[in-house]
Amino acid sequence: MKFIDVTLQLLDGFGTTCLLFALTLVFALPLGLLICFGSMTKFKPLRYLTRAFVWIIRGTPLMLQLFVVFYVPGMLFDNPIFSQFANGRFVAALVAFVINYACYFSEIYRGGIESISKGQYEACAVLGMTKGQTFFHVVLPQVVKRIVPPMSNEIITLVKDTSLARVIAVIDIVFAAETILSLKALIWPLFYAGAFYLIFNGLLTLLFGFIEKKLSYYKV
Amino acid sequence: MKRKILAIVLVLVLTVSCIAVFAACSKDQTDAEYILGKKTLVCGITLYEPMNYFNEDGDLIGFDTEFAEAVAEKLGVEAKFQVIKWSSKEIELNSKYIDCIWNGFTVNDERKQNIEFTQSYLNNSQCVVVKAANLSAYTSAAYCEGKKAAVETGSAGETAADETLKATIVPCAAQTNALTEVMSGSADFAVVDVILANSMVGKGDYAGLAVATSVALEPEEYAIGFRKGSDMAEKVNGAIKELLADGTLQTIAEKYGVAGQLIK
Amino acid sequence: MAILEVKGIKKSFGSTNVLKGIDFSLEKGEVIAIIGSSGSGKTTLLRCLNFLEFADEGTISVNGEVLYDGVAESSAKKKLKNDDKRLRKQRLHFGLVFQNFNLFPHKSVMGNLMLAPVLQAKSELSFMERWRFEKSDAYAAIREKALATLKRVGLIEKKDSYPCELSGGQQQRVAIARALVMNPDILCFDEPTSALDPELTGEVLKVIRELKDSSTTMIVVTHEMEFARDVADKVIYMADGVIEEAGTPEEVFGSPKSERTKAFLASRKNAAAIQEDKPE
Repeated sequence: MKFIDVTLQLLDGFGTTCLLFALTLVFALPLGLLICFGSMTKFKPLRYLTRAFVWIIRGTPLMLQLFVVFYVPGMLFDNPIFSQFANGRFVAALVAFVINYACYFSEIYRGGIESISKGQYEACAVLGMTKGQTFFHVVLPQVVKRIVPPMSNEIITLVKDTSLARVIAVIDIVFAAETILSLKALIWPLFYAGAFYLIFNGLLTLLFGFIEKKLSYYKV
Repeated sequence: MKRKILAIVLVLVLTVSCIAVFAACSKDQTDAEYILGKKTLVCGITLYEPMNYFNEDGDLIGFDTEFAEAVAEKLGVEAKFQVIKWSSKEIELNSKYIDCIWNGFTVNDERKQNIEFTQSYLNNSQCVVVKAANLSAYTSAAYCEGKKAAVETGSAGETAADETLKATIVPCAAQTNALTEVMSGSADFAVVDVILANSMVGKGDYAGLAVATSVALEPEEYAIGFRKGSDMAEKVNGAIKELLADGTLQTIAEKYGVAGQLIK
Repeated sequence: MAILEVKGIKKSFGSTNVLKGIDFSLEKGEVIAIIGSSGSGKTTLLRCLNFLEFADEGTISVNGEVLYDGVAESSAKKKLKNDDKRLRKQRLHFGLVFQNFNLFPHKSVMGNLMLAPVLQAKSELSFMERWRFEKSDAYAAIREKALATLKRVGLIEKKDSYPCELSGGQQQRVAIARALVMNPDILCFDEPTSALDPELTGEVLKVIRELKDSSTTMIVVTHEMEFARDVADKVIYMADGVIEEAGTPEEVFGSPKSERTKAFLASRKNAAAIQEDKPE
């Protein structure tokens, strides 16, 4: 098997990896904010429910969550819901990743929001701003700056975590490399796959460095 | 207090509605009715030669591939192939994402308790794979005792290495990983399917390996696994008998070089 | 008619009675200085006026209109605390300058001044109009006003700087300007110089003096006795949640009647003596 063939096959899997990564971010970033509000609400039942949920998701392995999302509907209720989709395995993985990462993001948001001083809220209040205006024009912009470092950490972890989707047979780049291994008895594509992650994360690191620099026009 | 009650009610409503949504589609029917009804037989496979693999044009071929297609045709359904993780095969089966495990699946007593097997169709055995340089030392099963054996977790090879050879187990995620362990020197030998070994050992990165034919292990058989209690196994048995009688299965076996192991 | 009328304000946190019945009134253009040791309740009083805290009892009236009535409030269906719209409207009668400025660090000086007025103007517009708001006359007017106010506090050359690039004194002047652009009836200061190095207090006090000269109605909670004496029309000395003594600066500083006032003023004098380099 030639280098170019291996590259093409790995690229195929890498497409899935990138798609899973991108869609997880697209859905988990706003969902995380929603969960964050839930875990900070004054309405106690909702707050406890949300915090218990976050505890469960953060307290169990993502791999098990993939299993639960994908297999449990079929096993307990005789209804393999993801078989309705052409790429149901990918959808199941996406659901599990979005839930898992939204919970992690929600805690980062919460830390960021709680780090904003009471004085900022009071300054907005005496200037007659609404709660929405206060949050979106004063709190959130400052939260964004504070959470860039922990977020970039989590997002880089996500890139590598996507390879867990192969436990429910989503054909990502590692799965593709493993297949080459079992079909062609070639080991090196597995390490070659690592280079894809390395380059991708290298680009992300540059991007986050750029964002941090962009946001350094003010200090708190 | 009011809020506590509200919270409990909220949880209950959520749980009940979830169950209702999931359970809505379940019906009372036998497995064969279910499979024949949807007109597809989804076979759980992993990719390996000569059972299920892609040719140069990217088409899925192999002995099990063509065999399954032939059986499906007889039963009036379409054979579909779903690549799975071998370690998840039972959960895939029970959650109904696949209808059967059709991928060189070794029959044994433990598996029989949870899986409905069809009649066996191929003879197989486990074999010991070592570095070619060490081949001469492996003259008998006794030599393997206490050495490090790389095996796929949950495979027939693990049972053989543990009970027959009395080796120390090095667990691996796949049979090919077991071969890699031997290559890297972290295990002394691997115990894998002879059919797999014959198609991989001596090739590519496994060029430095060899099958220790002097170490004899119990023979075993391949069959197709259905959900426990499924009436589909019986229907497939009927189709296999027809395919044996008209020579179709013999032709497929010859094409993939396993005619010698075919059970008639 | 008094611009501000405060009657019988009481406030407690748990079992601690912080305010035990405060009455005072303020005429338009007047400056009241509130002095007193820490824990006397003067900051809480200011926060009650700005509705950052809600008094348990008592009334607050501005221009004869009762904005807040603690007793009526306790039985009201929708409390002011939860009525965002009413609350915002009432808060705008007052401006508040904080001890630690509380500027928005991510906004430039002009951004700090313009944020609230721009949002307020936008909230009355349709979606499409909001989109084009920055080209409208209303926006230009807000900008003009912000620039003029910035000129008043002498920071026009810093209009594009960020708070982190300014000294403490400059930051507090920006905070004053930010409160001024909202046109409050009464501007409140909560120890505006306490967080500043001594050499920076002068510039802030100068700005407050100039505001008095242009007839801004102000309530200043302060530790600067000399400043209170100079600038205030009335001085209130608070102790233990009550007004211990009130009057003109001459009355309170020159011939205090209460023993507690005397003791407090004496202790401040000693403190001032140690701290020789008073500005101005």
